[in-house]
Amino acid sequence: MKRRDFLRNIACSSVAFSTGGALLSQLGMIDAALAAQSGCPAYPPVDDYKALVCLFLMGGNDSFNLLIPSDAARYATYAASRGAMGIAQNALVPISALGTGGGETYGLHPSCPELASVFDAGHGAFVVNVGTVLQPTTKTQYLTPGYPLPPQLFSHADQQGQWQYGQPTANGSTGWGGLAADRLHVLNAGATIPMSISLSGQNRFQAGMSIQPYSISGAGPTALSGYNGANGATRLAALEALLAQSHPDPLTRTYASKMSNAIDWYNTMQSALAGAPPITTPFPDNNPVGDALKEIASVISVRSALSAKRQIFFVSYGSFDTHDDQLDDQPSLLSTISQALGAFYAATEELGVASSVATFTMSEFARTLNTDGDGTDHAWGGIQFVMGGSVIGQRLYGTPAASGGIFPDQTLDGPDCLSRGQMIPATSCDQYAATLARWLGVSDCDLATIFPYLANFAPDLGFMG
Amino acid sequence: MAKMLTFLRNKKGDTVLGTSPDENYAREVMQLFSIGLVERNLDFSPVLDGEGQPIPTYAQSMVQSYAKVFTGWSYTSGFNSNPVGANWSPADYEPLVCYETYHDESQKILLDNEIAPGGADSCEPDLDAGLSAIEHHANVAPFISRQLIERFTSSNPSPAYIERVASVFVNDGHGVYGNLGAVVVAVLTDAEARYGAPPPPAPYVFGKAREPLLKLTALWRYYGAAATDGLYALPNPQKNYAERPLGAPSVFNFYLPDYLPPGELADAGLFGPEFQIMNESTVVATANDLTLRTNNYVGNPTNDDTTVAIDLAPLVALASTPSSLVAALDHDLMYGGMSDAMTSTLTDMVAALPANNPTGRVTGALQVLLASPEFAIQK
Repeated sequence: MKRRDFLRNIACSSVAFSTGGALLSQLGMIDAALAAQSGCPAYPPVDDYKALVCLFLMGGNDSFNLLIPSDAARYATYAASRGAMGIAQNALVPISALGTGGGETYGLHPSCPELASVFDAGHGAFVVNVGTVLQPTTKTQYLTPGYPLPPQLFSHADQQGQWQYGQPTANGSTGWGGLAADRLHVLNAGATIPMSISLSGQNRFQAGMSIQPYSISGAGPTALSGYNGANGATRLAALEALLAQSHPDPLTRTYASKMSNAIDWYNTMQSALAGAPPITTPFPDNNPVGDALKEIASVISVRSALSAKRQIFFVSYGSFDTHDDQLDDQPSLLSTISQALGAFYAATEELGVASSVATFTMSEFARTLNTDGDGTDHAWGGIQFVMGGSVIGQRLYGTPAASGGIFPDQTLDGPDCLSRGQMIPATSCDQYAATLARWLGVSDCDLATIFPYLANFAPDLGFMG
Repeated sequence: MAKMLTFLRNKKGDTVLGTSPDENYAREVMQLFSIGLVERNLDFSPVLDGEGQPIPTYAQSMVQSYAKVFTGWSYTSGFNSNPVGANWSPADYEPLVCYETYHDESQKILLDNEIAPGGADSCEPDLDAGLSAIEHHANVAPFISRQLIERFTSSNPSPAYIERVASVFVNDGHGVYGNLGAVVVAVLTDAEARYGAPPPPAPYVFGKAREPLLKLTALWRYYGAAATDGLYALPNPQKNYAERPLGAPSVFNFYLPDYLPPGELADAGLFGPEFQIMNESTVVATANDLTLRTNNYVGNPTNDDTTVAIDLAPLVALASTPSSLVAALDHDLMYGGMSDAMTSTLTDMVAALPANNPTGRVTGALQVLLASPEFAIQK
């Protein structure tokens, strides 16, 4: 048994007995052991606050209909490739991107005026043609048998996993957010709830070796009920005794620790949230992403009560898997995220934390540029949006494609894509992720471990100031 | 299925319009429903190449080939028919028919180098050839067998258990391939699934997490749940159970067969599919709803016609003897598997609840049992 596994097992077998304090002292012991093992320097205390907010667009967002070249020459190529899936040129929401090539202009999908406002105000940026690759990969190399490629391209679950993992390979169960939290949670001295909080339940992104996320809902943390009133204390004591029992198998232990944590962490979170200031920024109605982001804003507003200096949040939304009825479905999908993100940015300004929060999208792949009749199929490289007061905004980021520019040539079967417009990513999702993790405070030493393929690329895309 | 995986009205490619056949069903019928992503031995272990790497079952070109196979199918009322709301007619519930005009008549290379010949009137022959090639792929027996074991008995079956079941899939003893009845019998009667049998060899662990909704059905089924109006009203169960029957949020169902719960299970390489929908929010929401359900017992004056009421009378009759009540609960809901420690805790708790409220003793014991770790894992 490896030393790390042994230490983990101590924590797991004890967790059901532990109060928060005892658990944390055990984690501290493990942290010291892990730090010694990794060989990377320990993290000194920090005074500032920073948070990452990941919005995962499940199903594969057709992001080449989110950011669209609007100058005549490139729009014509876009329109020819997209056919019936194309967005009319005069419907695009114009944006003023800085630093683009001569005569190159862009517009957003008509459902995204809020994203356009954030972008033009200098607080948003797009990372273009980013996806799962192990090393720089051209179309010719992709078509060469034996060239190293991520396993199971075009498969939802596999590509979701690779985006969240920190390496486009199949093994393991952790994610780069969780591995970052393993390192950085020591900065939250005195905290009794995890530094990772999920608004969308289990996800690979936040799974660490020692730090796992706390799941709450868009309505807040969920309270155990039905144990008040006459004899409630007797029944609750019995339940807690069953949770603390020594269970012989790991499935039972896993459930027990989840329920124990739910009870303990609820008390901490709810008492902190009781002191949250009201958020006056209007959030969109009937918008689950908006509900989740508003709850995140509330949690951020009580960061001091939670002793949180670093936090990582996760929200997922979709299905963006628009094989059919794309023209009907895409507008509401995009308007949902645009309205929610616009409101969330405003809320972070209201709370005075805009520069401390970086919000970013991920999605497993973009979609074929050409259509299957009334929708699109699975493809590869796509476009992501990043937002925050520390984003060097109003710009497009990425690595030049084979055709020469950052924004790829959309000619079907042209230099940058396959026959249906499946784009070969010029930028690795690991570069995108590492840029965000580095801003949060992960050291270059630890980045090299979390993102083992990062050495094949420029390690920082430069969009975080 | 044709709507969910969008092969309804799927057309052959059109070079003028720049369209291609829809790849959705083509991909998922292979990946999720039949053979999976890598070649498998009969015990579900991956077949490895000379460098020790798994071998993909198909390439993107195979997906595009099957996308062509699944072209031309739509409602009997016309290829472009799109019934919604009140426009549904009885004919729209009939099996789909194929419209040759929209079918891709090129020759397609299928799995295992089988051929769908294409040509005139090839709509149905192509479909038959395509499905036959999938059905007889060597992965089908271990793939389906392993998923049935996961659903019925164990999240982490030994390879030998999978192979025993898969062998029945290949031949039910009477030369029949794919006899699912015989396969389920093999799943349920295998030595590894029997109480009292030796546990599977390490690292395999017997048992599975109950999916949240099956906690409720366990309660309802044993205690004869029924409502006066004859219905089983369960509006929006996804709120408390993270599941709605026939309402999976995507083609991946509610959770994936290969889900590794972070922490102790993932560290040991153990699967726990149901844990993908069990987190600090949902385990509490499920426990809370089950508490409410235990109070919907026959005779509760707050019931109305729609209340799905359970019959607790046999348990209430035992409430004056805590150990008898707990023994009955062990039998009814945990199949005699309750540990001594849990038996003792529950018995002491029941004894501490007022003897003059026998129904309160029963609902209290049910409430705690239904939220307990031992009930959460089915063995």
